[in-house]
Amino acid sequence: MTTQNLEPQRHLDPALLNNATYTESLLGQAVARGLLSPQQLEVVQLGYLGLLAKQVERFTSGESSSVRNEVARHLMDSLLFVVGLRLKTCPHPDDALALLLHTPAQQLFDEGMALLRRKLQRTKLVHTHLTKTLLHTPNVYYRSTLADGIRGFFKLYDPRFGAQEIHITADYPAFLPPTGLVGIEFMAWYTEVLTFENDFCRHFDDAAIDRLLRGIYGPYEELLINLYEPVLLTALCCVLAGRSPHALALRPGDITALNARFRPLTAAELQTVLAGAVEPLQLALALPAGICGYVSRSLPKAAALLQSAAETGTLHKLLAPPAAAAPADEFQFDFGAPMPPQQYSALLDELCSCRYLADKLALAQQQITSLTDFSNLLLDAELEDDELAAFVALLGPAELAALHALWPDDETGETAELRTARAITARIATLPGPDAQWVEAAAAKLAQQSDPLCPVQD
Amino acid sequence: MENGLSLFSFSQELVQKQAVEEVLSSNETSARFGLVLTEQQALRLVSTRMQALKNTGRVEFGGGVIDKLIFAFCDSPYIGTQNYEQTLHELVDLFYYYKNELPGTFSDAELIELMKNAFNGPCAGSLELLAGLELDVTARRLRGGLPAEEENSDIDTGEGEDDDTES
Repeated sequence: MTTQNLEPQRHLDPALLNNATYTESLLGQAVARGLLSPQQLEVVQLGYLGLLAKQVERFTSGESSSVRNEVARHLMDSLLFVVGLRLKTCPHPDDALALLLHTPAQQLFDEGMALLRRKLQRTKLVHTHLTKTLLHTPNVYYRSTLADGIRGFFKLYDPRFGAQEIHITADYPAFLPPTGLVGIEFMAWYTEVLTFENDFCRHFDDAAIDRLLRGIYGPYEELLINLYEPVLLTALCCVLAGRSPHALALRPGDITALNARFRPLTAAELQTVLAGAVEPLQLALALPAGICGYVSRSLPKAAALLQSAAETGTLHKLLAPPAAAAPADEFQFDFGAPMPPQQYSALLDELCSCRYLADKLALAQQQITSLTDFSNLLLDAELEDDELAAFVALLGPAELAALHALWPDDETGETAELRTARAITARIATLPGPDAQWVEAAAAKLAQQSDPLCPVQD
Repeated sequence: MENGLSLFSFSQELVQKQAVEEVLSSNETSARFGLVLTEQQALRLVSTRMQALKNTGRVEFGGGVIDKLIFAFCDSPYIGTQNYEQTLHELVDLFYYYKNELPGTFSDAELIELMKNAFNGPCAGSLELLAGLELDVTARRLRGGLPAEEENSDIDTGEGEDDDTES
């Protein structure tokens, strides 16, 4: 008989419970299925009413026995969320219902609050790791949400009276959709999945990711996009195409071949294909088990995206060859337009007739507006070594780099170019360490670029 | 997904039940001044309170402010058995109205103290004066960022209000 009485209580369906309002949905389902008598319900209600009264008293610091409706509702939602955290630790909703019926509201609240505080602490730790290892990307939403936005949540979050609140807008979308979570549960989930996604992306070179994203989206700095998605899809497809995933560099032919391979497959079949790429990807990138687990959890959505794109002939919107190196990686230097030849000759004559170096320098500074003229002057003005050094000292790091690239100090001799090159080298040597390194690196890059520096010659 | 059960909306009837018991328990104090509420009167007061709360969009638990009003006013020289219940009804209405009108930092105790001093002082037991002048002026002063205290003295100077009412 006892077994028969208990049997109906084994019919609460976990799938029908609401994650965000777990306690209310648990009671709602229990009432709807006749598992709670009106008397039992009234006892529960009275218990939580008393708890709400205490919360109102705490909220108003005992100074007001009444609060506006919306405040009371908000406080009730908060305390039921906290209690829900405790109830969710039960293996089955039936156990949660039994716990709810037989445990004082205050006790469940206290236990739920202890769980909440542990979850909050853990989420803060995960977030600290995330901010320390954040991917370097020009996408503005990435840092603003993952670092600043989540930090804002911790500042505003008040478990006592607003445990169910999220506070921030969480602009940056995670790859996997949230499952109706609120409060610290949402933030713990959000922080964790974004940490997995960030850690996965950190297994690739920042520049490779940048080139991939530019290849797919063009300028993506202000696009509200998930960065993990293209990296994951491209990495998996690189494996399938027989390429190393590190460079995230599919070729047009690879994408055409993948399109043909994916098109006849169902999403489930494609998921199986992608699953076969996970282990090689894990080996190639030395992915930790946690990240690998997240990649596996991502496969159903990845397969759905690729299958849909292949079916509609839009795979090129998900996969693309990487763009060329971003302009920011290149050094471009403009020597500027030269002055008219007659004006230059007059300047040169006047400068050569100057007796003092200070006058020469002043004249050059007054009349020269381009590096073309300045570099020509260095060669034409028949300057002494000390004068040459003084002229070169007028140049900034960028100009030094440009001239160093133009006249590398790699030969001996006494031509004007070589004397100037030595003066520039000597000047670079006087710069602070980082500046000197930058000038050397920039000069090397300028010298390597396909469009060599060519100051306009008269 | 099945709809959840709203504990919040179900709670109003239970609040009323709890409140009646708490109001009746305050008879112990008020009886020393010859003032006692019957269960019916307590129920009516709680109903008034419920209506006042509804009108002002507020929620209260337990006996709430009725108890506090009884404790504050039961020794008033202007309240006797003949007007005890009626006065409490009006005080309850006034309390919640001005609770919404006054800044949120104004506590129950401060508002009740203000009401009591005005009722027993310049208003001389007149609920109309209490509502129409004293509390109204104080609420306006507080909303304007001025202290309530000084205005009390202004009101005191206008104590000719008794004369006004008579004329």
